[in-house]
Amino acid sequence: MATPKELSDFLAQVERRAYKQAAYAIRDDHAALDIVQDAMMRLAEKYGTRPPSEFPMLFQRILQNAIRDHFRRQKVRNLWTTLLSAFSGGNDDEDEHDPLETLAGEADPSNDPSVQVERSQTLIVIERALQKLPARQREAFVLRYWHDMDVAETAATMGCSEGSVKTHCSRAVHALAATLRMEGMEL
Amino acid sequence: MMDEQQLAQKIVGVLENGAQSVDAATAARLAVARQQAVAAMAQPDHAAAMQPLLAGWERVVEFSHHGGYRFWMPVLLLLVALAAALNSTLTPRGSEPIDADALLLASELPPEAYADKEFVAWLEHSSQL
Repeated sequence: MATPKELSDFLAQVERRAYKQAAYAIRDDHAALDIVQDAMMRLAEKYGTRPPSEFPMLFQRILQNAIRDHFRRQKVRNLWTTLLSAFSGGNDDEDEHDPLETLAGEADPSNDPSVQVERSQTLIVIERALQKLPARQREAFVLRYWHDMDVAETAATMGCSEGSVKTHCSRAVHALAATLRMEGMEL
Repeated sequence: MMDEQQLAQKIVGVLENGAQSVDAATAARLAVARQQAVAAMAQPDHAAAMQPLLAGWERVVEFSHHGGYRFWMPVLLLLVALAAALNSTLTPRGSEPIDADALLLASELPPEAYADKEFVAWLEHSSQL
């Protein structure tokens, strides 16, 4: 049975990685923080008494489910928004909306020069490439290499075969390598 | 030439550096979230007391989450229809007696007059004229 200190140490070890992982998946930093917070709380409340060795897999499963729930909720929200906007009809204010403003609003915050100074160009390129990967490839890569799970653990967390994990990881690494080559970067 | 594993490790190294240098506000919020989680774990009595209540509700939520609504929705609709049918059956059709009472009370004649057979016969006779 885990002690509060063991849980705290585990969370401290994974929290930033988990935050980045969620942010790469959903591309929304605030929602990513909420998701990680919920996942932490859920782990503590429901599985806090489990042995610490089980925490990594349990936490990853909770986090993956929370990310999927986020997408599910977003889908429903988008559906309602579409329906309501169809009922409300055209809006003159919206017609006058400048598309450039939208582009500016949707731009990656990392385009901000002050942020670019802080973050290395390589990190930005890798993060963008990781965001563009198919969800399953990204998930496999992050779990297998970043969270240092073995193939069997990754497969169990993702709910797929070990063969699929190897395929996803291989494709992910090749895609990332191709992006780095295209940008003229070497690690 | 770098193999797949080595390249993956190098990429992860860059990502880890990036993760460790998140901005102060994010780091602070993550720390608060962690403390809250640990505090929630350290309250087993409260959790144990709430467990039976929450467990039942969670089962319902989980059931509906996995498509249980396909079962519950028709049952719910059936219950609503039954309740509506029962309501309409049991509720007295109140307007008719109330109208008759009001007519009796508002009439200039005493109520006994309506019980008088001769008066009723006179009424029928006069209405036929």
